[in-house]
Amino acid sequence: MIRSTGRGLWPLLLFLSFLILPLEGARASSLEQARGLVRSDKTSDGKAWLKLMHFRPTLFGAESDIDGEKFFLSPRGKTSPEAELQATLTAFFDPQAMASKEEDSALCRFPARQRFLRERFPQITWPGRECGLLQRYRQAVSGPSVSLVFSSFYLNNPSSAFGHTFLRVNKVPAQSDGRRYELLDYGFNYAADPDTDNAFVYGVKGLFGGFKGTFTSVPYYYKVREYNNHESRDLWQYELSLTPAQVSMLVDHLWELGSSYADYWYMTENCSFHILTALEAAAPDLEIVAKLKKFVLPADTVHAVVETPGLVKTVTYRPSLRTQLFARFDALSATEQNAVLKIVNDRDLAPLNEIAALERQSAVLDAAVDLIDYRFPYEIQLPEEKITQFKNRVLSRRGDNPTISTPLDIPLPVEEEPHRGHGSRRWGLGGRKVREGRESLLFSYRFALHDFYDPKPGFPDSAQITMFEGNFSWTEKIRRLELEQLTLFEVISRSPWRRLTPDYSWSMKVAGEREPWDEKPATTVMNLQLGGGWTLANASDSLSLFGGLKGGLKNDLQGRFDHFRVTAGPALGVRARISPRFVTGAEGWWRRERRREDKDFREISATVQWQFARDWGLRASAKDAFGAQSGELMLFGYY
Amino acid sequence: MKSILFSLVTLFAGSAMAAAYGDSGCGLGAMVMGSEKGLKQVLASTTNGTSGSQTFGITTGTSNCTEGGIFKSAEQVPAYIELNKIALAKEAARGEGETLAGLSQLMGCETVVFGKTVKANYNTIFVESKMEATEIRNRIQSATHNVCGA
Repeated sequence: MIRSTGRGLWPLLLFLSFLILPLEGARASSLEQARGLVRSDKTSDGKAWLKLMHFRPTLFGAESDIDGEKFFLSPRGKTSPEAELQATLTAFFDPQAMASKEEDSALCRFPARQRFLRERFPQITWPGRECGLLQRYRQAVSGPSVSLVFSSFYLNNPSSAFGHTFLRVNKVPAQSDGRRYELLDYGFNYAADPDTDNAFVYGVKGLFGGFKGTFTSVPYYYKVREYNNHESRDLWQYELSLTPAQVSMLVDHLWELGSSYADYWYMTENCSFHILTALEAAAPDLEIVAKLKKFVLPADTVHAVVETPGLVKTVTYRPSLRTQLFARFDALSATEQNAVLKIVNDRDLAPLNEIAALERQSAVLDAAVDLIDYRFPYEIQLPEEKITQFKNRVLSRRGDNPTISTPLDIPLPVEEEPHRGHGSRRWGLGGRKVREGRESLLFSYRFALHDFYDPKPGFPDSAQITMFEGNFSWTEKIRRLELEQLTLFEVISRSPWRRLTPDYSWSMKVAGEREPWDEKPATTVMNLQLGGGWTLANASDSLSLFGGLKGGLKNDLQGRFDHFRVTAGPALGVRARISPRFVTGAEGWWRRERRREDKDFREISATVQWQFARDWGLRASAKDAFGAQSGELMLFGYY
Repeated sequence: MKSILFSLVTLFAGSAMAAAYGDSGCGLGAMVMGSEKGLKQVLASTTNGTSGSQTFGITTGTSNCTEGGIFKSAEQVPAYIELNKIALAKEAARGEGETLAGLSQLMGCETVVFGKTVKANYNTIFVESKMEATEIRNRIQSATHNVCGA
């Protein structure tokens, strides 16, 4: 009975299977066809796939820079591009994926992989499905071109001192009036998600990959408010020559990355690095990442992008609030300028009455509001603050004044374009002669970034940022390389004091130094220095004079704390920039050092640097320190 | 390199401020950028904000105001007003500016007419500093509805 029943059902089952199998069979054969084609094409070894997976060669083969598990469909995906490609094919052809929720469907999670495979193998019948959220995202952010945006150096925050880069997808002009509304574009950012507010822990974790870094989409207006307005940093926008198809690929790829993360390394795999790998995933023929140095500084990636032939179409600039404020203020008469300062300093609108014309009043009010925003970037966000309430009165007065402001026209400052800057790293080779003393060869290396005598283009004018600089000497008599100075970190800010922006100057330094350098035996001293004062400068900042106090703590590097000593005294500095590439100046520090008894020292130096090419400079200096005079000549190469 | 403290879209759900945002239920709170004083606040909002919770698509770091990395369409205008509040009020008083033009575009209006109208009504739109974005939007809408068509 059983057998006959079974026999009786077979024809029915066969019949039913003919109804179902054509679909299943087609899928299976498409998957098999895809596997075969992909294998014979060696797709998984190809540049395009490897870049899409963020693979880079390592000591043991290759590995993806992405660390989030969600980025991989195969458990071996992080190390095997082949396994990941096979898993991707399986997932794309998985019949269940068609009916599953959007979030669970590989077709919706990996649109860039899909786009890549469809283009490469048009002969395959690829499955497709609706992805509502992805579709909405594409509509909201897509555009025909993309820009790399560089946010300039920000001294007030160590993690931004080297600048920052992110991407902006540029939308098509508005249908209504054919204009571009950049603020409505979307930006794409890669940043660490810090999970600590302890500065030390932050530093360590940031340097050693302890944070997860994620890609986020951010409305461009938010980035503008953050950088231009809140932090008063200029934004530089490099429009790239990616094709519209490549930009679509990029938008899809950022979607894939968004749900994952890559461990954040402050010096290597940082914002600028991952922005470029994402770019190369969408345009695999670009070779920028491979040319980067081990340590990636944002300004260097701008150089790399600009130096890639044909990649940059246009450079545009978005002036910071500070720049806008100066543009408004400088356009006023002396009386009007005084009124602006009085209004803001005394928080009183009365000075406005001294100005007759309504139009001039509006110009004064416009500058006053910018000045309040610049001076109180935090407070003005809090409604209960007194300054916010005063500002509202100013705005209310401005609202009553019928004049419509004329848009500011601030020309792009060509000399400040970041890509015109010298390379971040610097090596130096030269010699020194001590008066009636020995002659030495000098070697120098600086990891980053810029000092007062380096050429101006592309860098903040009144700041020095040094990170890891080593200076060594070699003297015939001693016949070995001696450490002169090892600076771990030094920041000097000499933003000039002006009526509008009464900034003070400050400095900070952590260094090991040999002193006195021509006495034997030389001692290496750990040096911690702090300074403060004021700088006066002419309008163009080409001539400046600093005066202030500098003090520090020193300790011999011999583990004995009785060698601990304090030093302090007045400091002076003068600098004249004769041209952007020819800078001269002098520094002096008169200090008293407390050891067993007090002792006075004087350190004076004069320096001149001539930059004869963007990345080549000659520096001559004369020094009087520890009772000996010496002269130095150095050749610097920047890269 | 990304600034830790100053750089996140710091909109936080579940706080009193978010509750004050209105009946949309979107977690877009009053936003405060930067400054040491704001440090704790900003960090608090980032730690319970974005990290690691995203499972699909991309995020703006905003909680439930967004979907798949972009603002829900109903939130677009309020979000724009909230995040641009300072620049917007300033440009509204001046009658001109990029932020104002962007809002005009989002609200489907002609830029110059919109700017002039908002300026003429500045003191009826921005009546106090503690205003919610939806309130500002409503006031702008009622000031401009005659000139903006829609």
